[in-house]
Formats: sequence, C-alpha cells, structure tokens
Amino acid sequence: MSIKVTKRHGHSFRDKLYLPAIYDGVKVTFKHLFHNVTNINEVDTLRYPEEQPTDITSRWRGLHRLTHRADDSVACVACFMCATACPSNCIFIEATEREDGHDEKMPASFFIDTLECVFCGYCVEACPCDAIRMDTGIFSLTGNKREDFVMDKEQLLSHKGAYGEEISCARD
Amino acid sequence: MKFAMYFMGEYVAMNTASAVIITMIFGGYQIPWVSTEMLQENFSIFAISIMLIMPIIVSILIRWMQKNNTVRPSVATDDGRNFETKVLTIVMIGMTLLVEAILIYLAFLTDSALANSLAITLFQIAVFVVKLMMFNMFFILIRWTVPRFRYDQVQKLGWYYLLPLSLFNLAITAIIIVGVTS
Ligand code: SF4
Ligand code: SF4
Repeated sequence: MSIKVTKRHGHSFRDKLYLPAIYDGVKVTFKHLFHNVTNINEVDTLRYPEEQPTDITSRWRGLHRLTHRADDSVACVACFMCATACPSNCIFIEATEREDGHDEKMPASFFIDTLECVFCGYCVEACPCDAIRMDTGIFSLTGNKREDFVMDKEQLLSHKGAYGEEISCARD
Repeated sequence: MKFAMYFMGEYVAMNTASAVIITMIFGGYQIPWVSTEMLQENFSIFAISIMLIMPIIVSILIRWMQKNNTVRPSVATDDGRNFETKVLTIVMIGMTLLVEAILIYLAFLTDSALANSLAITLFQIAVFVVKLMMFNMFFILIRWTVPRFRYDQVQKLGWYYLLPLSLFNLAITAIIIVGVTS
C-alpha cells in the first residue's frame, strides 16, 4: 500500500511573497464590488422594510397568541403549565372561576413579557389545550417604553394565526 | 454610540493615513504631470476640459441612479425612491450648469488672475478629495480581502522582503544621485 502524500502550499517564492496572492484576492473582491455596485437590485439582500421576508414558515416561532374556542371565548384553562415550563419565567397568569360552562378555570389576566421571552416555544409544547401558539408570523415588535412589550390577555387574543386554524384544536 | 465613536475613530485614522500617504508620495493636490503654473497659463484649455468632462461624469452618475436607486421590480410599492432620483437629477444638472456658467465666465469673459487662481485652488481641493476617497477605497478593499491576516506573515513580509527592498532602493538612489551630480 502506497502512502498518499498531500502537496502542501506556501513554499514557493511567489507564495512566500504574499503580495501576489493578496493581489489576486483584491481582484476578486473588486470584481464583486463592481458588479454589486452597478447592479444593486441583484444583490440578495432584503431591502427591509420595503421588502418583507417571504421565507417565514408555519413552524417558525413568532409572537405568541392565545387561541379561541368555537364560540370565540378564550381556550386557556389557566393550568399554569406554560408558566411552569417557561425557562425565563416571563408568563404571569392569574386564574379566575369560569362561569360560561366550558371549564372550571380561565385566566383573569395573562401577561407575557416579550423582553424576557427567549422564544423557545416551550410554552406552546407544554399547553394541554392548544391555547397558546406562536404561529402569528409576527417577527418585529416595537414600542416606546418597556411596558409596551408586556403583552396582556387582550393583545394576545387579538393576534391572528398566520397559517389558518384559528380555533384551538383541543377545546371546543 | 460609544461603539460608533470607536469605529469612527478607526475610519478617521484611515483618512489620516490616506492623506499623509497622498501628500508624501502621491503628489498631494496636483494632478499627475500637471503643475499649478501650467494650469494657470493654459486656463482656457483647463476650463474647457472640465466643461467637457463634468457633464460626462454627471450623466454616468444619473444613469447609475436611475438604474440602481429603485426598489426591486417585485416590490412595486414605493415611489419615494423615484422621487428622490428625480430631485437629485435636477440638483445635479443644476450644479453642472452652474459650474459650466462660472467656467465660461472665467475663461472667456474676464481675465482676472485672482479668480482663475481661486478656481484652480477649488479644483485642486476636489482632486485631493478624489485621491483621498480612492485611497480609502483601497484600504477597504484590502480589509475586505484579508480580514484576518496572519501576524507572522506580515512580520515576515516586512522584515524579509520589504526592508531589504527599501535598503536596495536606498542604495540605488544613492548611486544615481552621486553618479548624476558628480
Ligand atoms: S417562548 Fe419560551 S421563554 Fe417565551 S414565553 Fe414561551 S416558554 Fe417562555
Ligand atoms: S396557555 Fe395553556 S398551558 Fe398556559 S395556562 Fe393556558 S391552558 Fe395552561
């Protein structure tokens, strides 16, 4: 069996001078620069915000929403599973008794501090009622003060799912 | 903001280095092989060539702007850029006309040496700025090409190749100077 010998580079005089190689590199860089400057619309950079991303898939974790039941009432049963699973402890739920005959409990208030949220999606996986989802496709969240980023129950309920299936699959 | 100051300092240093290099080695504010006296003596030729070159450069710029200052055709929602292109086109054409008018006045309608010198000085400032930008571009190109150079290679390049080269240069220069003057 013969031994395979790999030829090493960098020992010729030209290689040791470095400058010829740098010159070749500059030529390549300049070619790209010239092409990109003269054909700006061919550059694969998104001209945000005029252009919006088109490659957000249904599995992508965007801003949260709380789903509804068929009669538009909140699907959440305030079981605190999501708040327990949340690694950044940013879900704050207050439970109250439910009077409309669906279940025993519902959230009186439901806050998610999106500044602390790491968008891990554990809350979605923990929920037994398919009541919380991250399929809104909302990727940019702006506000003037920190309080603007704490989503309350009404805001979370008002978010629409971006990929159909408006109501909860587990509660009707 | 702190980071912006730091980063701007980097670019200020680059500008300074470019300015020093241009002043020391690349002829400062002169265009190659043309001295200030030559420009002053042949002012009308100088003025006419500027009057010819400037519209060409401006039309290239405007064409570039019309082609590239647009949103991608797939997103045809924005008219702001078209408006911007329009305004800038008008401004650039107006500036060109102004410069042409001034040059025509200087070249044909008056022969005040002071005004001519002032025009030449302004032109030379522009030459310096163009050179400065070219050198900045060169700096940036090198940075794009070799973002992380190996320090041992730079040392080797300097000590083994550039230093002997400059010593050689010194010797040759000395020989020529002595040979020519004696
Ligand atoms: S995505 Fe993760 S961090 Fe954010 S609220 Fe849900 S569990 Fe908490
Ligand atoms: S969102 Fe789901 S996991 Fe969280 S409290 Fe409501 S039902 Fe329970």
